[in-house]
Amino acid sequence: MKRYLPLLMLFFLLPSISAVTLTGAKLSPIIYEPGKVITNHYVISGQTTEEIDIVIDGALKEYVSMSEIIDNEFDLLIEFPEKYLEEGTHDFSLAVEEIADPTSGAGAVTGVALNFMVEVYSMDKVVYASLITPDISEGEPLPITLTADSRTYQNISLLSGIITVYDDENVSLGEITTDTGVLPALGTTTLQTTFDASSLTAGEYSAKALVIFDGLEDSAKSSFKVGARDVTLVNYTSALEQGFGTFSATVSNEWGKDLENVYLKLFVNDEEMLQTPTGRITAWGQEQFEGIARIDLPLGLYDGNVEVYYDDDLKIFPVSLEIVLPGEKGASNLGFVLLIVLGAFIVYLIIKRRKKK
Amino acid sequence: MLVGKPTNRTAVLFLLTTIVLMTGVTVVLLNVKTYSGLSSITGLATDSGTGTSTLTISQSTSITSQVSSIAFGSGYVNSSCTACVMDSNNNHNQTTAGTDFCCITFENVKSGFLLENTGNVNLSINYSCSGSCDSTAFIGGTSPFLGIKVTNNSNADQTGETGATDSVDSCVSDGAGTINNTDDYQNVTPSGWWLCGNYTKYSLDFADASDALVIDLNVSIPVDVTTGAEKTATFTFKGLATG
Repeated sequence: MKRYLPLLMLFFLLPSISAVTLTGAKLSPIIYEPGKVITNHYVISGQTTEEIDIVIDGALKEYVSMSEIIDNEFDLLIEFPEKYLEEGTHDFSLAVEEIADPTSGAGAVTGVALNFMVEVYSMDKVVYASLITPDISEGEPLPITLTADSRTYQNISLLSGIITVYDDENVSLGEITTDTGVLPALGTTTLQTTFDASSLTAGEYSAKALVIFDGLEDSAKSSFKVGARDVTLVNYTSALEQGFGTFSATVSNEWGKDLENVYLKLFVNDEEMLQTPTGRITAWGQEQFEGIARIDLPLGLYDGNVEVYYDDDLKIFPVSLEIVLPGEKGASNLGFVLLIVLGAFIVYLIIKRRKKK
Repeated sequence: MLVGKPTNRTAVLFLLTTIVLMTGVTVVLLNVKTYSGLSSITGLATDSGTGTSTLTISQSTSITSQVSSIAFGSGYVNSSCTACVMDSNNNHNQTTAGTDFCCITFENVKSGFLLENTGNVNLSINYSCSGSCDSTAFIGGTSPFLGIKVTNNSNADQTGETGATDSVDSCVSDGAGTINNTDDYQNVTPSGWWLCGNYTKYSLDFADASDALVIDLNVSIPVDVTTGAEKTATFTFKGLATG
């Protein structure tokens, strides 16, 4: 005979929905400055409990306070002291949590927390350099942008850069020096120059900048490519349906300028199957071209060509194609035909009825 | 000339004919547009001018738990069994004694907590628990178990999201790629742990297709459990973002 234990209650009772939203401007990363005061406004919404709890925590919480909450809105006040803190990343957090009703037994609530990152920079002179060298077309000059971000509380009185350009085998092709500038504490300075790249042929290149500031150095790297007036067949429809099959192909522009009047022709067994509409490919961009071909060939594998016409040029890409049985697209065409037949039949009924009258 | 008054039937026929023909014409036009490569009508400006505009987007940090409850209800353990094991993911009554089920009259819970990132910033998700937050305190008896597990909603396919049900794995943003303890249930603890992402990796996307997680609970009730006062356990699911 089975023996049963007494009933056991096992509930996780929850409100019908639990949610909380905290809205305000993002502050992180906060760059530490002695004596700096930051006020940020927040709105609490969506909470499903009557009470909420707001907690400020973290290493810098002693410098953070909040205003009274009025209509679910409050200000967060950050008051940094008039002293320098230890260099590095410090944090504090602001959390808003729903408070579960203690009489409701077991349950679940939600909360959100924001983690604020405070960057304390060095008292030594430190610069973070970045280099921008855009892709260019053959024969064009290379514009170079060297940006120096101060990571120090000291001004830098003299800043300059030497940029060296390398080929893909890291052989130096020449260098150029920027003008000089100054970099205020916690500020940003941009130095620009142009490298004569007229002798560079299509390919991959790199550049390295040596940033010199008040007797100190930092470096930055970037890469760029020199493009030729060329196109590449990125991918294409390798299976075509018998009957009316859709062929599409994606072509990329390897040139730093737009290509106009681009269209494709598909040849199978030296017979032209389709020509796509004409389009345009933006500089360094890709574009998909599509057309419908009438395929009367037997099922099987075929070799063919895709001819890409761009402006007055032509490039031919060998392709492999498989002719397959019509798929679902055929079924949808059949549905369209049936729709038209049905419409015609209704019109016929109306005319017949009127003639009777 | 006398003109006959049109009948209702004629009007209906005309209406039907019009609908069918308009549908056909629409289909034809759509096909012509598609196959001819004509561009769709868009709001893209074709000319450019100068102007100044300012726009500030606030960060909305928001989390929603869409499921109302996980309530296994009341019941008892078949005395032929050592334990009754139940899961909130529609795996009710996982234990049997011969042909007899071990969980008697408990509810078959079909939905876990559905947590959704309803803000506009990525989150990491952790939980904590207050009250009777371990298996001994909450259930009692010999070798009880109270476990918690997290699953992408694209896999759990639980309905109820604010937006569309996820079609892409959540919790893979920001390189963390961590949904923790996806495969196995872990003991519930008062301090909890990260369910998705961590203190520096905010892995739960806010994009509608991949913004939800399902938190399931698994309980194992030993046959020698003693009944007593109802215990309480409150889970707090918290979403963390950079402020």
